[in-house]
Amino acid sequence: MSGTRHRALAAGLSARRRWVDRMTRHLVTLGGVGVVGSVVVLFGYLLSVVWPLFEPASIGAAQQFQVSAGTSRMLAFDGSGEHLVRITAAGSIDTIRVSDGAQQRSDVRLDQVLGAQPVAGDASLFALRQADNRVRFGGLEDRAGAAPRWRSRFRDAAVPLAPGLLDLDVALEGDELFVAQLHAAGLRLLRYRGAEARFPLEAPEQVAIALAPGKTWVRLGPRGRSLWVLGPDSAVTHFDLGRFGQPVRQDFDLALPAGVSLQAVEFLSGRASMLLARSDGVIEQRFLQPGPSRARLARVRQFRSDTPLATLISESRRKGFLAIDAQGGLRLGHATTGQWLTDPRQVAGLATRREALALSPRAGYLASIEPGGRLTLVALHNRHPEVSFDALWAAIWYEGYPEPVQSWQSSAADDDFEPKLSLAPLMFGTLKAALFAMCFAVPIAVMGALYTACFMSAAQRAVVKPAIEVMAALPTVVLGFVAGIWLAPVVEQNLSSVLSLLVLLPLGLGLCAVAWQWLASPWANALRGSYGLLTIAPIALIAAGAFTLGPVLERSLFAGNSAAWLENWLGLEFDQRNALVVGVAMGFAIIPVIYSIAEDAIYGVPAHLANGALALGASQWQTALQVILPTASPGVFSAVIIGFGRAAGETMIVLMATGNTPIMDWNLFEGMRTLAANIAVELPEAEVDSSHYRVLFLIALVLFLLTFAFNSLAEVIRSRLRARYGNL
Amino acid sequence: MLTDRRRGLQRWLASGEAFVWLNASAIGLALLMALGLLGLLAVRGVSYFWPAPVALVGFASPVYGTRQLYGQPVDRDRISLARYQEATGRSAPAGQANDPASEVARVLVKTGNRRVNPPAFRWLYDHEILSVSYPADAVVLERRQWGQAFGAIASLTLGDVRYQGDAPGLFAALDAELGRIRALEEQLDRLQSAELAPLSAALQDNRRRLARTASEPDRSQLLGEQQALERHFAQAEAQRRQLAQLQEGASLRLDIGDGTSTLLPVSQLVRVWRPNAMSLGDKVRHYFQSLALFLSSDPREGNTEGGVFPAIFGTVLMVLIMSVLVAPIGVLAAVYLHEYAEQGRFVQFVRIAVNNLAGVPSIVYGVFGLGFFVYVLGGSIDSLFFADRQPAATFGSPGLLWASLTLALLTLPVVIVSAEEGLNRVPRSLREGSLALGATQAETLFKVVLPMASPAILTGIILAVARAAGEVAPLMLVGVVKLAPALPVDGIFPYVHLDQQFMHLGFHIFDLGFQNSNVEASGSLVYATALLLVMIVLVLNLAAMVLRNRLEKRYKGQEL
Repeated sequence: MSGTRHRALAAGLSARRRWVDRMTRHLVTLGGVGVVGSVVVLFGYLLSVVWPLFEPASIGAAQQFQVSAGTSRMLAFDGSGEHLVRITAAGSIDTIRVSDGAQQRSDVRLDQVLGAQPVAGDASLFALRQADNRVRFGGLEDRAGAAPRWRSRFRDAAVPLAPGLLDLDVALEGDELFVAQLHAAGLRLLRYRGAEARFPLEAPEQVAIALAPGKTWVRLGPRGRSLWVLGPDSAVTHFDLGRFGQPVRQDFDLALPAGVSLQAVEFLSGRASMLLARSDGVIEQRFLQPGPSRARLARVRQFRSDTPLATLISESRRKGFLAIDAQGGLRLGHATTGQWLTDPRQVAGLATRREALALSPRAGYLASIEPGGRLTLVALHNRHPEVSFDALWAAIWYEGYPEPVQSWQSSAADDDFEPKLSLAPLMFGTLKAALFAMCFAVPIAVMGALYTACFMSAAQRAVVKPAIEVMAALPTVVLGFVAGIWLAPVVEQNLSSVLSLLVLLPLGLGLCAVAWQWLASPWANALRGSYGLLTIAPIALIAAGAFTLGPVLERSLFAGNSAAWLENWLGLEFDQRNALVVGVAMGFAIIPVIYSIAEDAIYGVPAHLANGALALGASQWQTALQVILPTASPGVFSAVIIGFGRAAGETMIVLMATGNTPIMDWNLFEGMRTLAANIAVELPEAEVDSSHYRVLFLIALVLFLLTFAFNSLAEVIRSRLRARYGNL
Repeated sequence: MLTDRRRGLQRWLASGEAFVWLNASAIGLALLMALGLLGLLAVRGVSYFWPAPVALVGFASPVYGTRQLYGQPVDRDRISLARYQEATGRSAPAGQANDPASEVARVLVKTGNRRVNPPAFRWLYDHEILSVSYPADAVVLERRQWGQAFGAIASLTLGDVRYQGDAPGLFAALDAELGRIRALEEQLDRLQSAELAPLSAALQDNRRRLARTASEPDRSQLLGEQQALERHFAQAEAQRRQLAQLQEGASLRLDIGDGTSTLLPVSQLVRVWRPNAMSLGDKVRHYFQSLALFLSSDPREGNTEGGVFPAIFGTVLMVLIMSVLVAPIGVLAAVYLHEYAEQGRFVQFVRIAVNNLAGVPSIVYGVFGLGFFVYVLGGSIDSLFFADRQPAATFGSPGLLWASLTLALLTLPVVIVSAEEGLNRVPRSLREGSLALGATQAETLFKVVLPMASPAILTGIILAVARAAGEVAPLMLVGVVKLAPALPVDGIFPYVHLDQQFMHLGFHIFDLGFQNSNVEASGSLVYATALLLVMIVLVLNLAAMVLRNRLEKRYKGQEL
């Protein structure tokens, strides 16, 4: 029906009919192209959500503002990242709007400030060291849409400092305020319990520890339970404060190369791991790993740089950090992925003369101030630093782990959590579930297809084939439900019976088959087409036998409890909802898929091939196995591929029939978590546009591409096969 | 000798009768599993509504004490002594050797009375049971809350009249009272849907308008309307309270065994029956009554009791909307691919792509639906048309429309493939005949081709509906909830609430089986729901199959 010929025919029609014809053509074309377009939109949209994960981080333009003069002691961003707070040596507090540098001076005026630093554990609380050698506290009160307000905390309580102070670290953990002071003669540690911002501090508990001189830094560990003391040399001292009054000392050796010293120490968010900047340009990440006898402080990973990086700042809610060298070269890194996210970039205004630095909460800006009130704001673009190819697939040494692992653990209650986004366990679970299902389904489906296509009588085939194909329409939620609620407990209660069934069924059927050939061969030709359904009887008998034998076996071999026996003697964990249950249930779901396609392929083999073989004296079985099956094998193969694709993407059965724990273990009696089930479990709770959300979209995209590729491959194979049948 | 044997083996292998049988057994196994699954669902689902007898069981259990309780035996099994000891931490029962491999029989008894006498299910070991009897006066009470109660009625108080447990007119009076309460309940429902719900919607709407309006005369008019509405609402509310008050008054004292009893308000009861005293006819009548209630009533007790009507309604409505969306688009695409597009590499590629879309996991469609439909489309609709309601999302959160759209996309390949197959079957000669008689291509399409292909198109739509009815994974992301407060269709403008979340049979099964603590209690109800869903899907598929067969026959004679 070529269009031109048709238009010629229509030339003599009334205008209305011609208009209807044209409109129909336009509408149909629009609809058809629209459908094609929607496929493109589907793929394109998934890609557009995933894409930002792989956008490299970058350091943007630097803006400069002039704010009022005066020596700055501290810069800090407020919770929203829209305002900066500056504390000057003279004791004035300024808020600066990030968007335009507009400055506002607070009415509050403090006494002279010698130093100021943020309090770990509370982003809006700051400790100010003043001329009377005491520390006082103040905090920012966020106000929607307006500059935050400065408020004194703990009713102006003043914490006395030791003379000759070298370093100070302050942390608020729940309602416990820790003040750690490193001074010339050692350490002094204060703990204030029941610290609440609105009330004055009560009398502290105090610990004093004498230390050899030469230390530079003191840092509190997570939850105020440990304390680190470091100097420029290799010796690191750690105090376990599990019982506050009795710190347990442990010394570590960093084993720095000769002539190399430490230039800076910075703890990552959560304070579980530390970054050590060495004078040879290497940054080491270390954290405590619980060992069998004593804890270790191993070098977990290193970041190398050509120039020494003297300044480190860590992000407040992620495991990222920022390093600056002596020339003002700025670089972003991320601890989990162990990568520099950007190349070093020289930014004017970050050179050595800076007085204070601050990094905004989501690492959107770096702020630096120089004497004379010159403020530099550097825009940073770094939305998804925790995702990289390695983070998604390779083994990563996460904080607190004794070794690198591939792990999926996307979220936890607190902000300091290090997300573990390895897709490997999910991919493993998907493959495990699909492979067990295939082990169960492929023999049944392909053998069944061969029998139906080659031997079954036409009358039976007309019933049996549609009956099995209708099974494909069974809602998978029902299969998953039966698998989880009925099959899993049955398997658990009758484990020995089920295991003996797995052995007895192939064995018993083989024996039946041999017996059949001996006993019934005289009538074989007459019966061959119709005994398909009759085999149900021996199968049921074998099953009944297995379930009678099972308890006997359990009593005599497994001491009455097979699951416990498995755990005790073979070391195999046993979960109620395990891979065996999934294999059977999902196998059941894909049998009709494989069967239907394979049967079509086998049935479609041109009849003259079979007739030729039979005419040459081959038996029906020889014809089927050596002529028909090889000819149809590409079709059978594509059926298996399509079945595999279906199993890999199936959601409800795995969701309901496994415990959904992302473990990597081939054990038949443990569960798994698959890619698809993971989406169903986590996407409803994922924060929109977060890294977690985008990684879940990435999983969807992977599933989409995987099944699309598998199906296309199968389709190509089948269309070639069809062409071959046509030529035969 | 040796060669003889080898030749024998060769002949044996060549005939391969054993292998043929082995292949046949694969078919047998597949069918057996399918039948077994359907049988399991049928037996468990169908038997749920049968009025099982209530036993009075006396037992001495270290866990539950020595007592006498009413209950229904639900399940029996035998476990090895090793498992018995692991589960109970006790030594072998008296009279049984301490052999870990010997067995102990036990029975699961549903004792109900969850509020006054938990737990509702108990495993009792056979050796702990002292006596079992089936008293004729044992009753089952189906309650609005706390599930079923078992016991014997000690007395019934209806206002001033008091019946003792053995009084002859007690059950007639109780049935009459339950009927009266049901009638009041219906009045209450009508009041709720006809008056209270529309009034509260109007009030909310007015309040929003008031917040937006600045000019004084408009405000005062709106304020006047507001007061009138509030007066109206207060009247209706008073009427509701009055009706609710009328339901109270009657109470029933239930003897729950052990010589203890509990007082229950009759308004809390749905039905009362005496299974041990029922004749077969009564039981059959009760059975169908229960079935009707299951299909027509709302769920209770976190979906573990009551019916599945909202889930059926939600499923049907979602599937209807989906069909309206998918049918024209799918047919349009098929017509384009088969009738209008130049047959070339591009169309071949599109055809393969459409085929492959059918194999893409359904959860991927759910992800796309959530991201694109809900957040992108829904978010834009909200900021364009419902700006006054923000930040509360209207279309920017999962809902009926997005679920239907997602499933329409999911089932699109099914419709396209079927419709194209149908178009392919229409003989070319018919088209040419039509064109030769002077019809335009559009006229040929509408008057000849589409009517002839319509059974195939219908088949495709039925298959799409069957697929959509059973699909759960994408719906979990785009709009299905465990318990929707109201049906998405009601008497308030715009009558069909496309932005609302809804209930769905498949999700109902998922939720009951996996997110509910009282799995034992709901066990059988889930089987009934699963059976219902399977029946719907199978009937739809069979219908499609029958239609397709007819179609094949119809075209057999028409090839020229």
